[in-house]
Amino acid sequence: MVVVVVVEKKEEEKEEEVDMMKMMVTPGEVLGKASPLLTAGRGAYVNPHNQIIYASITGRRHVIHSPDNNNNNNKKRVVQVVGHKAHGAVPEPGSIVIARVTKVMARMASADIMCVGPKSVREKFTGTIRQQDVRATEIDKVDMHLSFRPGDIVRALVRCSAL
Amino acid sequence: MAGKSASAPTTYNPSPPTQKKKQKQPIFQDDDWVRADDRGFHQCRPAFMRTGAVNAASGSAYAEFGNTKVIVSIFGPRESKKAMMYSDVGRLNCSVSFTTFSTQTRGQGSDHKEFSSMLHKALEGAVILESFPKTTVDIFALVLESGGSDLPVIISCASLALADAGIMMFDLVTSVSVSCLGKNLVIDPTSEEESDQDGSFMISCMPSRNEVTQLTITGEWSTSKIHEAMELCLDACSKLGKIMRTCLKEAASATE
Repeated sequence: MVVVVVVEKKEEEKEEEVDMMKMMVTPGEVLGKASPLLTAGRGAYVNPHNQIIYASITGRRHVIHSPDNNNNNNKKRVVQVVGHKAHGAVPEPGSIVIARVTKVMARMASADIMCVGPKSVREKFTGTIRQQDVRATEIDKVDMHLSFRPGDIVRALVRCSAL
Repeated sequence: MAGKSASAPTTYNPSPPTQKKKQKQPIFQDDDWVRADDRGFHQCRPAFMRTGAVNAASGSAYAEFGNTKVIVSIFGPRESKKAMMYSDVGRLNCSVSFTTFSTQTRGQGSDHKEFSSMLHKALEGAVILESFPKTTVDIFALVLESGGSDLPVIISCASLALADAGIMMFDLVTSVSVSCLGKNLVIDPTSEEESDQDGSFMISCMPSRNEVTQLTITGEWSTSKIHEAMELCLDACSKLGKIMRTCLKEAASATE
């Protein structure tokens, strides 16, 4: 098991990071021990029982500085697995998607999702745009047919998707 | 009438089991029998596993354990069908089928419902279903040749295929079975051994987390035998896990 220790000397640190870069991991392999200084990033998860960070996908193990660094001597690290092959993008509540409108009805429009964030989807995903979600004001006076036409490309936020 | 019924017993019993066994000619004669493929009792068949067997799938794997040959392909995650009940986590849709030429007696290669649900149970605990909400991952297992211990091979191969597809998992799932033949415990049994077994024991586990996802026992087992079988299986599972990890790493390094 490798536990990342924040070392004082810069050279040693570099050496260690290079070594980490080389490490290929598979799901279930131990990446380190979770602590306030080390958290799990993408492709990794923490087992709540023993606070050990495991990999959840195949890829290379990377230790990066925590992105939210306001102070210069930031010691917080994030361990993540950069997958050689991640599964196709899946839209989930909160994602920004690019969609093509397929059908416009009186109270809603259907759309096919093409991109989730920066990634295009591999499989077909559909979504609906409801009348009350089209704009912020005068939501009951929205005319869907004046707002959308089939073929329109829209940028939308996926809302809580309880049916 | 009354005399006749008194002479002929009103109850009936099956003939003693010892006589039957002698007629059946078991594959093992006594304690020092040798397995048909010259393996030791606690020796598994050579395992060959490769990822990326099916190009059209998001992930796939091929496994060959002795004569047992299996292909598993993964599709998705894709949108769940509208008719299905709502759930915020992902779903696994497992299907196990046999080719028509997989067994000695040529049968029809239909879906194996029991194996499908067993495969689902073995994998659902290991996949991080929250990582693909409201979507379904399809797992299709095809047994090309059935040479015994089919289900454990299918389960291990499916988890390798899931890892190849990039589906987030807590750990790989490895599965090994043991057959009880007379006094002996035989690991990774072939079909002949399986057809003659007194009991079978199968375990699916997550090797690096030391957690069991599925345990199946059939037949009559004593507590000590179960203990011994479990030790054997868990040890074999962790070794199989190493083989699978090497396979994944080789495939990942090759594509870079």
